[in-house]
Amino acid sequence: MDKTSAELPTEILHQILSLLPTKTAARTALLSKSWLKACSTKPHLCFDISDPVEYRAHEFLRIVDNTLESIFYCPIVEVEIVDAPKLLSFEYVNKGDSAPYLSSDNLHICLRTIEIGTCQNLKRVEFVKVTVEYWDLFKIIQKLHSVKELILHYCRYLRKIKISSSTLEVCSIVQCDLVEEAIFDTPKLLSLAFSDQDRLPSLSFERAPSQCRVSIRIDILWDVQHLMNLRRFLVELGDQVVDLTLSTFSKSLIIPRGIYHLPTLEVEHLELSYSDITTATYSSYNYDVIFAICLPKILTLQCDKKLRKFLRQQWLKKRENRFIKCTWKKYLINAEIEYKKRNGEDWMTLDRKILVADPHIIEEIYTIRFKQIQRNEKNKYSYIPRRVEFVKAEIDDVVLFELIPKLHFIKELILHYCKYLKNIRISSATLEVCSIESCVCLVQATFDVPKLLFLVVKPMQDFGERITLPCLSFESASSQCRIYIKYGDLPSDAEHIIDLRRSLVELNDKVADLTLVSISKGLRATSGVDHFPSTEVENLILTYCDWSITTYSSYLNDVFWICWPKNLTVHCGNKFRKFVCQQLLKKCWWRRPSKCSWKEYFINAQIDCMKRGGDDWMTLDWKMLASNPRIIEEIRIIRFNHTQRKEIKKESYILSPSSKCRISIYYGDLWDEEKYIDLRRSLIELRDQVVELRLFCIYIGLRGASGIDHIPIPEVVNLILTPYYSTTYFDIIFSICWPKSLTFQEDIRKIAILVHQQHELPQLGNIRH
Amino acid sequence: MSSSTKFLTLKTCDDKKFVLDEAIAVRSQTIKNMVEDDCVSNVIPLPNVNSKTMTKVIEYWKKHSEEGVSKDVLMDFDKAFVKVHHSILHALILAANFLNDKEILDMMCQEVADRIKGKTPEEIRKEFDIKNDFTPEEEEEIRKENAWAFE
Repeated sequence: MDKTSAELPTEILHQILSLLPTKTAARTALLSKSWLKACSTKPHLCFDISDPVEYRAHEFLRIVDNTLESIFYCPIVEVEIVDAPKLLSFEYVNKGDSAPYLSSDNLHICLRTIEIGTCQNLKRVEFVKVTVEYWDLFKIIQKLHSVKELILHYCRYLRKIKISSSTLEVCSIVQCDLVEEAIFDTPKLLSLAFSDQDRLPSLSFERAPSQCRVSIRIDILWDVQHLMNLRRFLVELGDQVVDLTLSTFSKSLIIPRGIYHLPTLEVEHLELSYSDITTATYSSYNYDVIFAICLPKILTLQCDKKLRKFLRQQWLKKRENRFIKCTWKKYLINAEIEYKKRNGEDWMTLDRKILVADPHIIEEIYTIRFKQIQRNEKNKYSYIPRRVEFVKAEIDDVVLFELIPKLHFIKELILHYCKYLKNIRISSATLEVCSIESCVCLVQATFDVPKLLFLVVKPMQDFGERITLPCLSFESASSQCRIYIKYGDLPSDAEHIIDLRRSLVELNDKVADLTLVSISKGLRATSGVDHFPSTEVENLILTYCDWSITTYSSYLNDVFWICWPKNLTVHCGNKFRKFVCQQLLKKCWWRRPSKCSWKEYFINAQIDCMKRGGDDWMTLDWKMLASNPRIIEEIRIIRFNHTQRKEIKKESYILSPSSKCRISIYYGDLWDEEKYIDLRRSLIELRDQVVELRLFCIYIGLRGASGIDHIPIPEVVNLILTPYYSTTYFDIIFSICWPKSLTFQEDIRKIAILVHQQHELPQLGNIRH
Repeated sequence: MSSSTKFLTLKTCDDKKFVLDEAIAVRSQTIKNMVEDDCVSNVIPLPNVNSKTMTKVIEYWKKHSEEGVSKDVLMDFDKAFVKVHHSILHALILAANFLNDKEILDMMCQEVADRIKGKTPEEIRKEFDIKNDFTPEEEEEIRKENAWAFE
């Protein structure tokens, strides 16, 4: 009696078969009916050529083909190709539909494992209705060193595709609807096709040749979401050449109005095949839809009666509509037209003349093609958003800090009227332009932005009517970074002017532009300020300085005390014109160098002027002015250009007795943060001066302000301290200054006598030298 | 090992009882599941396994549960274990399948595969005592369909 096969369940026979070489396994079909059943339903395929006794290598391909053919109604779960040097094509088609004992929800069989050993010649891989895992697919493709073609059909459970192959040329993805992300690392890819995808994945190329052609085939464009998805997909493709085939779109598709404001996308070829004529009305509406999706370089249409009629109308109207603004009308009119009478024939040219000569020609047209001759350059925008604006946004420091790195595309950041920002930190690898305006509470801004090129800061009066420029510090910044401070009105009190000066000093060598709208009356720079080096700024723009000024000489004194501009641009009023005129005419008498910095500046500057905003700059010198004094009255904007600041002069700004001067500061107790920063600023302003600093007592709880580490630490020659032994104490000391020598004074009493209790460190000018 | 050694009673289809240490018996996934689900009252019936086969299975289990047995010894034991008449082999496969012991099942299937290798269909039929239930016409057709395999 046949015990074995009659009683062994099919699963066990499958297991036995899986242990046999393919050919031997196939032979067992002859044993009995149960073996035959097992042979034709086995879920595990093993192609193993390593057993030379069984068969020779060249037979292998045929064996694979035969095997795959014979198991036509069973779901293969495991495929193993151990060693198949001659295998050229691998097609895994899950024909589960026809399997009699499969329930309908089981149509997609999960290909659990697919092992491909060394298939050196495998050129084509196709998966149909297979649930293959993302990672398995990736690994399979990676292993195949000569694969040229990959086809994925109805792999509905595939969510992500990553394909990395140096040989792949053709890839086709059909109805893999769940795919959300597709990454191609395929330098030789020539053609990539998506067909009948309900949703197009987000596509990215790690390596791809520029001539890769992407073709998309869509049967029906369902709704706005579908449309936007397609648009997004096209946007992400960037400059890749795209062929798009569209059969029809849903009647209920309503184009969002906003789409017309978006830049138009270009595709290489758009083919419209209206399979359902009843829904297609060749009205402007339909063309609106098409041109809202993209602007094709070549547009191919299948003609029917309606379309022919429509086209005839359009052509006859052509003359009148020469300057039409509607995109599609313009397109149809300006395009080069070709047509075909039948499929397979050659393209023939068609133009108005031919049409007028033989109007019936239009009835014979089967396919018509429009070619855009001139590429519309203005359509080439960069489509990826680059700019992020926060205007009156209620964001705080933490949110902003966490948000910025997430905006990996950001090039431009704008913060306007964000009143909750106090101490911001911006860290971005891509940011190039940053504008901070009118953020009332902002005290400090730290930038870790290596690519920053342009920073605009505009302070605003806070509730106490005080203007505070945020303290700017840079962790990393390019040397070309330009800082633009729009200061606005400078109030009359000295506090503001010193604050501004300090900010400029702190910016150190950064290129800065400064705009001042007005300087209030009655402002006097503190006495003694002249002896300090004034900071240089690249550009100083003074606007509307006319109305508030009594005398220009004192005004310019103030201005030059704040900074020494390489370029000074002044928007002239009558008074200023007169003043400049006087000064310039006086110029010839100023033989000897003037001590007054602005006079010196005026004499040596190259002067340009502009009659109207937008005109070219014209040179102006005193000779021209002397010959025709009326010329000055036409001038609206005057610019002084004085790039070469005399080095001697620079020295002389630093105290005249100069470098040997030793400044001793007996500071005494350092109580709070404000004083600490005040002291530090003073030291920075003294710059290269030899400084001796004595500190008596430092409040233990004092911490340096965050970000202060990024401001250069001033050097002092000698720091005398009363001994205090705690680590934070030294931290604080070394954040204030870096002493060349550090002295500890043992006798506290003795020092106490020396100390002048000056908690408010005087303005620098008041320090006695 | 559990603190107190528990014994299970297994009853084969020919009404023979085997008393077995639970730690050994749970090599069978089927028995293990029953123990874990607490549906073991006193006797576990094994309706698909006869006593002769069960003796073999227990022999295997005991050998593989012994401590301090070298690998070589086990391999020799396994080799000898599978060298049995095909009817016993067949019974063991079914028993292993029922008891859900993958180790025995894999070993037995491998043995069957090894015996099939390098034989003609007629030889295989003889080896395993398989009755040819095809008509000569059917057989011819299969040969035709799978001609590549018979070259």
